[in-house]
Amino acid sequence: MSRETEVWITGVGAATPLGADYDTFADNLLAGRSGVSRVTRFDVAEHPCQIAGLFDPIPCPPGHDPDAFARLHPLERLTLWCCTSALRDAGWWERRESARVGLVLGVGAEWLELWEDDSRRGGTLVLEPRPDEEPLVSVARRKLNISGPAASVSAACASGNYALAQARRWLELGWVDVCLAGACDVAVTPMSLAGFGNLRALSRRNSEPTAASRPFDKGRDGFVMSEGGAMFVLESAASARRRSARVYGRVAGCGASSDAHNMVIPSPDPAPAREAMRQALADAGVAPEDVDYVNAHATSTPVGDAAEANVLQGVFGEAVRSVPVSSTKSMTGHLLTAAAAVEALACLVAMERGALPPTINLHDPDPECPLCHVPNEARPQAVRVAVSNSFGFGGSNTCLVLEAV
Amino acid sequence: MKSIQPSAGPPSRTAVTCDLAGSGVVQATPETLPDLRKGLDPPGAEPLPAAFFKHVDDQTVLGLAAVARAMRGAGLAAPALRDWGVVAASCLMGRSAFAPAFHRFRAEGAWGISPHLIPHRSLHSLSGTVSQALKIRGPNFGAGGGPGGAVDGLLAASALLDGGRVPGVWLVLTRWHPEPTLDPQGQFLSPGCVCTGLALALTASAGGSARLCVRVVPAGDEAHAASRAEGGAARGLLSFESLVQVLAGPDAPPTAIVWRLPFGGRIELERKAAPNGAGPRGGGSAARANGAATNPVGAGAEIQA
Repeated sequence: MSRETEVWITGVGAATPLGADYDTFADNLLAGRSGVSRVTRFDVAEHPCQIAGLFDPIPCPPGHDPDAFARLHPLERLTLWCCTSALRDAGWWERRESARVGLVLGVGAEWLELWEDDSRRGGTLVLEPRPDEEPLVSVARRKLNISGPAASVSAACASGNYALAQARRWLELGWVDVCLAGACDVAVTPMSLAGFGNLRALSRRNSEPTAASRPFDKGRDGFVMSEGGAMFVLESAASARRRSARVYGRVAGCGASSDAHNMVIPSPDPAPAREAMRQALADAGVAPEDVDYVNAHATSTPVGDAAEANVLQGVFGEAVRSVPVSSTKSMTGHLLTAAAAVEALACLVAMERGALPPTINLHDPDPECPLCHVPNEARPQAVRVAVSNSFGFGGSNTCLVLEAV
Repeated sequence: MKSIQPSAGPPSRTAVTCDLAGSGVVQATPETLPDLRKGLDPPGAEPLPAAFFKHVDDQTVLGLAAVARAMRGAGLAAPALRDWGVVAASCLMGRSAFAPAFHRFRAEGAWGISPHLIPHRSLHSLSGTVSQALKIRGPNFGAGGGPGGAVDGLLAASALLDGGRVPGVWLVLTRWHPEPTLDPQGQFLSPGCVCTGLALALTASAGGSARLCVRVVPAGDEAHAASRAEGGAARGLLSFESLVQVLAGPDAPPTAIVWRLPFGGRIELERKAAPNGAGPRGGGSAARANGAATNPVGAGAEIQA
C-alpha cells in the first residue's frame, strides 16, 4: 500500500468511565485511576455483582438543544456525542457536507437496551415494536447529516476492531472519503448486570470496587462491566496531508478469526487467536519484535487471561518477556461492545504521550500469565507500534495494529 | 419486478463483485419451528442434535437451516468452508426471549435471569453459532440487527470478501414477517407470522456461473448512478423481502435486477438461464420447515458471470 492510500486516524471522540474527552481520558489512564464504583443508578441489592464503570451525564454536543438531547435514549446520546466530538476534533464537522462521510458503528445490543429501558418505564415495545422503528446507525447518520454509507456491526467485545477494519476497507474501496468508525455501549442495565452475573463472569469484589478489575493478578475473580464508547475519524493519508490534519496514528493492520468452539468459553486451542494476531501483524508489515506495546483483551477472568497469555507466548516466542503488555480494563472496566474501540484509543494515548498505560491492581502476577507486565504505574516509553487484542462471545478473535505516523 | 441488461463497461474500483456460489431459503411458522429444533445435519459437519438448539433464538435456527440448505444445493461441505467468513444480519433478535425475561426479572429479581440470554440473543449470536456449527474459523460477526439490516449485511460481507483474506463469506439474513405481537410470556399473539432464513454463499468473483454484484457509488458520482439506474431498472430500495422473492420466489428474472441503496448507489444481481438446463452451482434452494419445498427459482437456473 502506498503512503498516500494508508488510512490514518485524524479525529477521536469518546465517553468512558475515565473521561469524556481525549485529554481527560489520557490523563486518568496514565495516572492509573480506576473508573469503577458501586452502581447507584438502580437497585443492585439482589445482584451478585454490584459494581461497574459508569459515566454520567453524557455531555450534550454543541448545537443540540440540551433538553431535547436529555430525552434521547442514552445509547443515542452517547453515539451522537462520540461521533460529533470525533468530527469536530478532525476538523470535518463544519464541512462534513462537502465529503462523503461514512459510518461503521459497533453496537451489539441496541434493541435489548431500548426494550429494557422502555419496559422499565412501563412501555411495551418488546411486545409490539413500532413498525417504523429506525436503527441507531440510521438515526445517527441522519442527525449527523452525513451522506455516506452506514452500517452497524457486532462481534460482542470485538466489535470495535471489526468496525475499524470495515471502515478502512470502505476507504480503500472508495466507498467513502472519510469514515467514522468505533463502538458504543451502555450495557450497565439491571438485566445485563444480572445476566452476566449469573453467568459467573463478573467480579463479586463488591466491597472494593476500584480493586475489582485485576487482569493477570492471581486474585482476579471476573470482569467488571462498564459503559462508554469511542469513535474515530478515518481518512486517507493523502486527504489528511492536504488538510494538514492532526494525525493520531495509522490503522496499520487488522486480523480476525473464530474459535468455532463455544459461544462463551474461550477455546483451549490458542491457534485461532494466534492466527488473528499473525494476520494483523502481517497486514501491518511489522514483525513481532517491532511491537512496542500490547493492549491485551484480558478482562480479569481466571480462564480468559491465562488463555490470552498462552496466545501471546505463541506469537512472540521468547520475546514475550520483553514486549510490554497491559490491560486497561483494570481501570476502565470492560466496556463490552465498546471495549475494542476504547482500547484502540488507549493505544493512541500511549503513542501520543510516550507512555505505557498500566495494569492496576496487579500485585501478585499469576504464574500462568508470564508476560512483561506494566504493573500499577505507567511507564515512560516511546511507542511506535501498538497492538490491541479483542476477543468476544461467539468465538471472535480480533487484533488491531496501530502505528505512529 | 423489472429486468435490465447487465451494466455496460468495467466496474469501477468502487464496485465489489462476488460470485453467488449458492443460496438457500428456509421458512417456518411458530407451529413448525419445533421441527427444525429437533436437529440439523449440515453436509460434512457433525450432526447438530436438539441440545445444540436449546438456548438459541428462532432466527438462529432458521439461519442455520438456510445455510445447510444452501450447502446441499450447491454441493458445499463443511470442511471446505473452514476459512470462510460469516456475516449475519438478524432482525430484532431475541425479542421473544427478552419479553418473558423482563417479566421474570420483575417477579423474581436478578437471579431469575438466564445466563444464556445475552450470549445467544444478541446481534453476534447468529454468526457465532454458524461458525461453531460448521467449524468455520474465519471472521464472524453480526451486521444490521434491525429493519433494513440486509443492506448492512451486504456491505459488510462484500467488503470482507473483497479484502482477499477469505475464500468465501456466508451472508445469513433472518427476520420475522410480519413482526409478531407477543404476550408477556413471549407467546405469539398475531397469526400468520413466518420466520425466514436466507443464506448466500459468496465467493470472490472468478468467472463462475453466478454473480452478485455489489456496487456502491463513490463520492460525487450520484448523478451518474441515477442515470444508470433509470436506464436499466429503477427498483425499490434493497430489502430482505425482495431478496427472498428473487432467490426463492416464482418469477426468475431473465437478466439482472438492480436495487437502490438508501445512501446512493445500487446492488445488482445478474443471472441467466443455464446453458444446458443442468442443476446449477449457484442454484438456490428453498423450503418450508414442514419439508414441503416451494418452487426454488434458482434450481435449474444459473446466474450469469
